[in-house]
Amino acid sequence: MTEVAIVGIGCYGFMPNTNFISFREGMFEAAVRAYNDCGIDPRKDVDSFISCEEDFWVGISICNEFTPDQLGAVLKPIVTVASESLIGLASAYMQIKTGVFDVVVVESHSKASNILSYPKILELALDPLYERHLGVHPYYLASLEAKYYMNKYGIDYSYFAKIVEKNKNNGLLNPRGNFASKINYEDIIKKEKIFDPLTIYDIANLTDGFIVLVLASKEITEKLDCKPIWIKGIGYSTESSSFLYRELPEIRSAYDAAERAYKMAKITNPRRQIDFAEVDDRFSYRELMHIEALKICKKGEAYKDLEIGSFNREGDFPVNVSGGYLACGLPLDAGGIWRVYETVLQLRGEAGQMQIKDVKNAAILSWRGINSSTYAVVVLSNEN
Amino acid sequence: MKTNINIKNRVAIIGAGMTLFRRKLKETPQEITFGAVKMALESAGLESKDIEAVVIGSAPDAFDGIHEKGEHLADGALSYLKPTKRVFVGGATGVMAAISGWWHVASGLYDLVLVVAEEKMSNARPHPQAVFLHIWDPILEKPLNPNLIWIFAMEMHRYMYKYNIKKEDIALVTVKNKRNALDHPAARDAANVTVEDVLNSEVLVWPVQRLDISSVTDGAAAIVLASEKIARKFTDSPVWIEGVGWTLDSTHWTCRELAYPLYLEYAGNMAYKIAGISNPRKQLDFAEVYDPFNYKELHHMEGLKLADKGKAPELTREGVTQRDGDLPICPSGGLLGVGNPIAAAGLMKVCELFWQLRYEAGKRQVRIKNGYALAQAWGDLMQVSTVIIAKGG
Amino acid sequence: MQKIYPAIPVLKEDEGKIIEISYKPEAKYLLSAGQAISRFLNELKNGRIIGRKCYGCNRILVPPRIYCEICFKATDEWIYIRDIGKVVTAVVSYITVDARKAEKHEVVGIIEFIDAPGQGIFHRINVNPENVINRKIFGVTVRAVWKNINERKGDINDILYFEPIEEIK
Repeated sequence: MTEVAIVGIGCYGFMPNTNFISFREGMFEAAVRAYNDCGIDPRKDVDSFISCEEDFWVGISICNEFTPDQLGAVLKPIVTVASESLIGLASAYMQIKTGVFDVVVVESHSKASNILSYPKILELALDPLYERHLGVHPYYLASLEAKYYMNKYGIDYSYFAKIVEKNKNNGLLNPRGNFASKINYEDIIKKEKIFDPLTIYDIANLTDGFIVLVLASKEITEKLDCKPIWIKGIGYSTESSSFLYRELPEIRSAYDAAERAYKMAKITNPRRQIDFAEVDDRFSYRELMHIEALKICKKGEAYKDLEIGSFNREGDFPVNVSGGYLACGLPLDAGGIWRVYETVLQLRGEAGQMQIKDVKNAAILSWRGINSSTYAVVVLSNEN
Repeated sequence: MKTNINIKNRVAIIGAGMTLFRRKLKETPQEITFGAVKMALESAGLESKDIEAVVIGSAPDAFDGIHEKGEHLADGALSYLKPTKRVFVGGATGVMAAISGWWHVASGLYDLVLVVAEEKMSNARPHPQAVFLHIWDPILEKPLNPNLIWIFAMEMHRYMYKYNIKKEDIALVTVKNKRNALDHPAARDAANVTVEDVLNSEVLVWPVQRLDISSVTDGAAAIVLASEKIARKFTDSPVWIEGVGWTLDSTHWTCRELAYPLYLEYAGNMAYKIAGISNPRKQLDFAEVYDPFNYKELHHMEGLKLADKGKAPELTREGVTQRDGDLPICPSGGLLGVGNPIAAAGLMKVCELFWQLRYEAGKRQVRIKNGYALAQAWGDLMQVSTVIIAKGG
Repeated sequence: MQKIYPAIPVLKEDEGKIIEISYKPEAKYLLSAGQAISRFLNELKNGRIIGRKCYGCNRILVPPRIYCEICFKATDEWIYIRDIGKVVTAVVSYITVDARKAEKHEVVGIIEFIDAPGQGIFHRINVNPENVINRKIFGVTVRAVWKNINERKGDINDILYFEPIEEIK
């Protein structure tokens, strides 16, 4: 059975507003960089393409119509997986594993700056019969969940503020740290609540960004001039999308996704066997919940490790060294493969000022947002 | 692509189900999804807990009026703590969902996968067709206020012009498919119509008339896929997926030779190569090609090399594509006869492959000689095709 | 074995008796035209059509794009082309966007630019519907008819329609 590695990465326009280019032009720029990274010609060397788009984020119905040209995929197999981008990565992984495809490209992007009515589109994702009639900003669901989490495990808001402080400061070293700042946790605690208990600092801003990744089978990685980063395990899972059918604050499908990825990667002790993680932090409290889902800490206890600095850059298990969404911005569905981009840089030793020493294995957890219960986890390694 | 295609993990279809296809169904999108899923699971003798992964196919979110539709429909697809994803390639989604299910199993990662495609077009107001205003280029095409039928009409007219094809011959496809659908219990538009009825129907966008097109429909279809080692535990007659192919052409449909679907030729070639089929015209027992409009069936037959360019109308006239002909096309009744709930229509065709190849198609049954059959779907701006080849027995 | 197909169709007598919830989505966007289309639109305001040439395949791409999808490389040069082309296909519409009967028929089609072979534009054509139905318009040379300069806004409707410049035989 062949193994699968990420051989090329490209990122372009990771900034709050890319109004100087159209989304197609942005995809082209990211694709050129990804193909250049591993020295391939998409017209000849790529067997299949996957793009991760959603109509209502792009503003065009059947948005997959507008994908092939700028990726070099004209008259080639390209499919749009309308899910979180890590699930697109999982699809590429599966395609290579069938033995029919050797090189598969995964693309996702965000042009959030083009969206004028973001909260209303998010509302459109809520259940039409039971949730939409609330008529309030969907982020109130996040505030409900945060309160559940705090009450169930006796966690004080100050820990969420510490997450914000950690990530925003981490982001200062990241060229993509659009919203990074030297903020102090005391200032965060004083800020007014907008979705109680969350302040404006606890919620990630949106950003534009275009990411393209190139995956290849083991045979091909040996022929390319690249530093392959191996996909050791990948898993994704969904529970009900509606709050009504889930037991807050449990995120069972997150734990399920992690278990699936770990089983494939043969990871039995994540805290020991993995060196760092990138997890969804679009709401500060979620970083703690996601760290727990990755089984780095017991459920409800991540805040204790946060307190002693385990998740800091210099700690024994750095989380979100990139600065996460809180510092860099949330590129909608492209978030998952953007984290892969940042992780691949680390594992290749190309993370510049952000570089953590002696890293071998990393875990990434992505989430599809407050309207969903879809999570994906991937375990990457620079060793085969 | 690899030159020697040797798929280590064979994939079989072991169950299929679909709801009634109707203009408007009482159920919600999740309930419609569940209806098809339940029937498919029962036909395979499985329970929902046996399913290891789910693939959902559904076309524009704007119809059902739900953003990130895949997340919402997952409930109806019974995907509690299961890997679930949604694929979306416009009208070609139905067959693409089946292909996506195929790569789940062929990769060796999963043994039992559920594929379901659903569409509830009746939710859209004032009329579902208005949703199609948003599929065009928003800057260069939408301001011209195009109706979806315009682009089909342009392609149809180009096809008629290039190969000198008469409307009378194209009308034969409507007659055949609607009549075939009389034997499909779930069909919406089954009827006995004549060529005159078609040629006298209301002109919408010349050359397209009302009986040239399939209708807006609600419905869902589902199939269950199994790996080789599991398939035989559940059925004596698994239907193997022998070949898959898909291709998307450039966004710029105004720069294409619309008379011939080149992208379908590529997709077909990919599927034929994987299946090891060198003479489709002879080796296929029947084909379910995508027929949202009657001329499309002819167009796609030519793209799939089942007829020479411009010659599909002749085959139709000669009765070759009838159920008792040499190469039955759309024995189910197709979209023209059964209905067109965008994504579910494509998967309905795959269900038809399953039923036909197991001799479960009732009055629709065609003769099975070699055991090979093909289902194809198409979509976007005259742009994409997905092909799946199955083998029975 | 008789298959039973689930689902309950809505019949005429049910209309008005089923519970329905109405919701109007608010999905508003401001789409970036980007480098290539912004220039194209500005030139439309000037009454001119501009394309991009790719030195790799020698095609002139209209509407212009900064990438060539065949060569997969950046395109190289801006080139003006004449607003003249041949009709590739044409149709007559009697319905509106939302499938109602239109008050007035409309002829639309694809016009392939003479100066940019293989590149077509979708637009209105000012011709007698008879000549569309009998297909005599196919292959006929047409030219763009523009709005007055002070009415042009820099969008695709700055071209009113395309009109034959040769006799239709």
